[in-house]
Amino acid sequence: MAKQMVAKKEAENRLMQMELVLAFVLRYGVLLCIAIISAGVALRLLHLGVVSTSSEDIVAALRSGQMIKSSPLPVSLAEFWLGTVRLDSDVITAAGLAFLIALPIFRVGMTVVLFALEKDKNYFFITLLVLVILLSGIYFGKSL
Amino acid sequence: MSPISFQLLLLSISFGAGIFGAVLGLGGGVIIVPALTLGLGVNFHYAVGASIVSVIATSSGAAATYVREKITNIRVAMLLEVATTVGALLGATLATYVDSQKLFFVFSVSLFFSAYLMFRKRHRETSHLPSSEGHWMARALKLNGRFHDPVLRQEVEYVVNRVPLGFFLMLGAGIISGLLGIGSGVLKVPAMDSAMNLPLKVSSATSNFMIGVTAAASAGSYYVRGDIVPLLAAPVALGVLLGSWFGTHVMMKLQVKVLRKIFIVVLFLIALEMLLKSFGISVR
Repeated sequence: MAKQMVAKKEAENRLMQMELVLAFVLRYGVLLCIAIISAGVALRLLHLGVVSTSSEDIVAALRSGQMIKSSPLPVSLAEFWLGTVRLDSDVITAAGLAFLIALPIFRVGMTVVLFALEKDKNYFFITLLVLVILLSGIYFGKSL
Repeated sequence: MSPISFQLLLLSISFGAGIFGAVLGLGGGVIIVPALTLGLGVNFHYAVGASIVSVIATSSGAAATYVREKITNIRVAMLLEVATTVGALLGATLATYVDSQKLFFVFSVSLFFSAYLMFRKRHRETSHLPSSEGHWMARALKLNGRFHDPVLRQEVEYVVNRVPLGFFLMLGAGIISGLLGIGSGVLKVPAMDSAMNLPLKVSSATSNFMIGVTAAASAGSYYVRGDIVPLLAAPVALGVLLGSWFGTHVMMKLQVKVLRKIFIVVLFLIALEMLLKSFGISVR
């Protein structure tokens, strides 16, 4: 019984340690995202690179509460790549934003792996379910 | 207004929202959305899109702090995230069918509720009451835990009660988060500490741990839908993130009690203005 308790506590500690590592990955991931996002916005404001809609038009639409008519944000890797090569500032900013949104999803994905390694079947399936829900939000996001 | 001054304005508003959010333990969203919609006239959907991104940024940036405290209950978090993420997707979907006027109304109601919960919490002690043997699901799913309470200077064991009720309330917190672009920590904490009898400290840490994942669920759908405008979301995310770091590191010595009282009044006034707006009455 006592042995079991010790083993359980050790498993808990391992879980915490790995989550802590993930949390640090998240922190530096955020910094990287912010750098990419800022680079994109700076390109736009300094009139470097290409833009589909002028900043003035976007700001005016935002201030009047209107919807904005501009090209949709990139979703495929090809779109991200082409946009970045063209120095499309919105695509670069969007890449940073997409990466930022992906960070918690990545964390959940890694936690699925952690529970698999711990052979915790219940929590493997629970975290996997969370991951599926998160991904379906993106996959079905447009039609939702 | 020129694009550059608009960016600087957004940056400074968000910086302030981040400081407030960090010092008071709320996200910045509760301040950002009213500031963007009521203050700058931005479309509700875009304000929500920008706010939800900032929620992810702050929550991810602070995740290490919460895990390091070793009071986050990862199993409770993961189980409840099933409910919050489903709720967030529902909320994000609902947002497309609900017009701004009604969104103002819902936001106003949840602000009144937040203000009430903060008001009720103002004299709260952080220790918790010992409870019975807990819910059978909590035992089956290994939710019960222990943590070191620095005030009592001892290990405190706790059991988790009313798991289905907590799960159900989290579904609601998720819907509000996805619909209004806020972290809804203010709703998550009572779901855990009042409904499930988790110690308050464990509830807050676990809630903060969950917020980013909840937000990511709806943010993904806001992103593919095109409700995240880079020129709006970028300065807001940056400002809130910097503000919350500043808030946690520099402003810790501030008199939180006084600030909390001021904030309750501010929250109340914003809620009132949003309520009036939902009936088509503009104060300005």
